[in-house]
Amino acid sequence: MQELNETKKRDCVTSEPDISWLLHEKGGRMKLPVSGTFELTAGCNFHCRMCYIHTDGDRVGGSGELTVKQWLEIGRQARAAGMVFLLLTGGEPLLRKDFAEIYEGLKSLGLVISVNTNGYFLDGEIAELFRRNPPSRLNISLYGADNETYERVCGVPVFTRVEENIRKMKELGISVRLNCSITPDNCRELEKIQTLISSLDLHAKATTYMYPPMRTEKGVFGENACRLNAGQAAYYRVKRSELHYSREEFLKRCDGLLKGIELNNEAMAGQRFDREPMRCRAGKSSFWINWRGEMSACGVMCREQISVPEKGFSKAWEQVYREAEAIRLPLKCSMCQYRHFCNVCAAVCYCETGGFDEAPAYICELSENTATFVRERAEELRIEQS
Amino acid sequence: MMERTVPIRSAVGEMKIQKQVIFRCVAGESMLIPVGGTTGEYNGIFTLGGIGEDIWKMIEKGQEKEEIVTALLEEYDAEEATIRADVEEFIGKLESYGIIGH
Repeated sequence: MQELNETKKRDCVTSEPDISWLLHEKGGRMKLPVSGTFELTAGCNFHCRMCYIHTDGDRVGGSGELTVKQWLEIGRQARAAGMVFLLLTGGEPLLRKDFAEIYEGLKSLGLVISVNTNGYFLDGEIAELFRRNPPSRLNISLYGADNETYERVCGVPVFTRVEENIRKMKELGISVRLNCSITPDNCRELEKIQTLISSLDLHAKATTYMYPPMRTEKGVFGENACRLNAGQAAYYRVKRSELHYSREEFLKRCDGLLKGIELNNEAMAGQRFDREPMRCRAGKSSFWINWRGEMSACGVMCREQISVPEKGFSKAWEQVYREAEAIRLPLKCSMCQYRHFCNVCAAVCYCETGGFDEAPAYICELSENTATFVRERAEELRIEQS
Repeated sequence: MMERTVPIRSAVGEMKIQKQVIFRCVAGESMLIPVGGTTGEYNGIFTLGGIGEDIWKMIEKGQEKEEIVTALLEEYDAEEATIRADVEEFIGKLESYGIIGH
């Protein structure tokens, strides 16, 4: 049997189980939508300054939100088309009063379901729901290690409650992953956050990259006033890695990154380059349906959105697949020495530049700075050791 | 793609399906996906190889072990000892996970 979440913490490149990888590989070739995301609402009880989905105008139950019946029908159609893995997200999906009905209805279809949440509502009836009928994984956002940091990042000083709920879910035996967004409002607390993660003994992902919020009214290509600048994003990316891994593992990773640059340069010498297709699974074996029922390849890249209630799932997927297949990344990215660790993807290109022709300057700077900081830090540590 | 829901605790001859699982076949891969409370016991997917899928379909229909062996002997060009060993191994695995019981 393949456990979906065999270990809580893994230091390998991916913690994805073999069966998931296999289904996505085969599914991608057969044009099957093996995994999907249902964004149940844009409403949220937090007000994170860097959010790319929620604005204060978005409320749960707002006009345009799909009903339980609609979500279950979409779930049935998606399952018939090949969906196995489903992520329920928002906004804050647990804000919906009918969340349990949607969740249990979809789960009974034979889907492997994960849930994204800010952790605030993981008590009472929801805790009982998940005790009785657990998700495959809970991805809980972690914005800091104290109430003050939560207030700065999300506008609500609710860390204590969130931490209590994280522990509760762990006690119930539910697989939990923490998702940390590192921003100017919590970057100085990184060590404290990492100490907390270690004490919780849970798998955690951290990112210093925040998309420009193009899905909101305030979206401007290439801008997010609430994110770290590229240099800072690189610095904290490397710092987080050093805090997370042992010294030996961290140095091994530094060496791997730097060696990768060398190998890329060797391999690329004298080569001719073409623009590459999308590297990720979006629009190949995965899709996103937003709170209005509109499908796109990816939740961030909102340029082409097709209404599933109107067109039906299969037609929407066919269109999304076709459009994603046609996308080509910037030529500069095909011949970049940092390609093995760079954050660039079609969604990033779109949100940063408005298209796919230009390499996004912020990302180029982030990658270049990452390489510099990795080189410097590895040298410092080796001098300390000798 | 084949999709079947397995009823909870259906009486299947000498073998009873004890857990809530749903059979699915996607991209040519056959699997059992735990649902309901069974997700709490097994957070994973049970993958079925070629013969595993055949055996599972027969278990769902209520066929007993000897009937399964006989049916597979008609289907596959293999020695009885081999078929029997494969069936017993597969049923043993399902039993070890508590998916079926007596």
